[in-house]
Amino acid sequence: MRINACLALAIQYEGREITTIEGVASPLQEAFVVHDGFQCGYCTSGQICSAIGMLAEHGNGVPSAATEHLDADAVELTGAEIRERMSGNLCRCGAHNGIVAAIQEVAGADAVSHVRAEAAR
Amino acid sequence: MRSFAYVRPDDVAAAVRTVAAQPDAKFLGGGTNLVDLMREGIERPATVVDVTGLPLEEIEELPDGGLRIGAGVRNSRLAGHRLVRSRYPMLAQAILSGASAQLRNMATVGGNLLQRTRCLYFYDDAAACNKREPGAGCAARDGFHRSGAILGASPTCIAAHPSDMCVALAALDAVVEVESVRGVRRIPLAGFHRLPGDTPHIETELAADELITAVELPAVPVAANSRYRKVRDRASYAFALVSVAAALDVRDGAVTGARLALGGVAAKPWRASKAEQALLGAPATEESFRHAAEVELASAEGLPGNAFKIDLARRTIVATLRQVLTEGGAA
Ligand SMILES: Cc1cc2nc3c(=O)[nH]c(=O)nc-3n(C[C@H](O)[C@H](O)[C@H](O)COP(=O)(O)OP(=O)(O)OC[C@H]3O[C@@H](n4cnc5c(N)ncnc54)[C@H](O)[C@@H]3O)c2cc1C
Ligand code: SF4
Ligand code: FES
Repeated sequence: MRINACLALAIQYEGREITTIEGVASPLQEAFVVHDGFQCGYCTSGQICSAIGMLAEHGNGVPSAATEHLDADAVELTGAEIRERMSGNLCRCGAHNGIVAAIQEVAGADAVSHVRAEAAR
Repeated sequence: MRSFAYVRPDDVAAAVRTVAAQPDAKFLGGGTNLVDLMREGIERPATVVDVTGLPLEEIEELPDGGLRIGAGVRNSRLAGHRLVRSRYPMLAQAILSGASAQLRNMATVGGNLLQRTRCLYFYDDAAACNKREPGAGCAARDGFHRSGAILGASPTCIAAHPSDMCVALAALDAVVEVESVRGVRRIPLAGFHRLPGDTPHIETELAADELITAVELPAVPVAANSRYRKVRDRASYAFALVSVAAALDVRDGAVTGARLALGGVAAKPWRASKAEQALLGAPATEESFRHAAEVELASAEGLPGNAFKIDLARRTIVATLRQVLTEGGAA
């Protein structure tokens, strides 16, 4: 589960398993490089950790504020869904387009084609 | 660096005993507000009693079709719960429109109820603030008060309550269950938060040693057809300027049931009872919606930096009701 380290009182997490970017080996890392998902790199470790948590949440059927029908069983991971679900990670360099593209690639071809269609509209 | 003691009891009796014995103790939920305030020196508890080890994590269906939500349930779990999504979509949407996914994974229901205002001067201990220091004055009045209240404010404080979740809870007639060494009591959400009056530092009816154990929702059939709309300075990860929770039941073109509450406009989640009264029996038209909004906002007052919210609230009420009418609820 993704959380904000900056607001976590460390002692509350005693005995829990914690994964930071140092413990991550994910296709997202390569995808961020391929899609220019960063510039200065300051936000990147957070973006990647957050994206891993986000994909797990989506896989578990968790809705978001961008979800139109809350009662639906599965939510399609559109560009709008990714942006909303990743809104807790700001990139001061403005690499969000690359970040969304990287996540889309990893999330699967379905989402990519849908977002292309969206962008073409 | 200020030191404090930390305890993590695993039963409610021990938790309330600890806090009753220590006037400077505070409960700790997800920590997303309290840890921040402690770091800024605004809150200075000598003892922190972590409530996340307590058995308050259940969401149970009640025999009458309502829901009992443990105070330790994380915001994201509540928003994702099947019955919340289908029976109270305004509540799921309200929670999902608040903060970020990371914060919602941490934040608890109890902590969300008691989160403090985001008025900038409350966080800045160099500024005058009656809420932080009674009698000191209010820097927001002549300063930056874009987020400030337009309903129920007082000369001493114009801060607004920032919660989205609580707006839906107000519309749904939620009841807050609290426990202390003196026993258990139940406080209707409508009367849980207080308007500032002369005592803006007293924000709720909760005593310092009372633990929130649960929130109960009654069965509210009209809520199945409901939505939450939040207007803010950016599309996500920002507090509300104005928000509206609305449910509507329409038969033969007339309103037969309505629930309406507003966020970002007052020191408490604002149940729009006057608007609900105006809607009942009226034709389900744009004109009725506008009239209801105007009735509710007749007593609204703005300052130079937030008077725009009166008109914004009116338009947001109308737009939300219109959307529920034409598109149905968010379920
Ligand atoms: C960057 C940021 C953006 C945010 N944006 C939004 C937003 O858009 N909308 C919104 O609604 N909220 C927003 N929030 C606020 C967030 O929702 C609250 O911080 C959160 O709900 C508080 O829950 P918590 O469990 O972390 O509380 P804590 O920080 O643990 O506690 C908050 C208060 O509640 C008390 N408390 C906690 N549990 C109990 C209990 N069971 N009984 C009695 N007292 C208790 C604590 O003593 C403390 O005073 C935002 C927060 C941040 C940091
Ligand atoms: S509006 Fe309330 S919280 Fe803000 S500075 Fe004035 S007294 Fe303090
Ligand atoms: S890459 Fe610079 S802040 Fe995101």
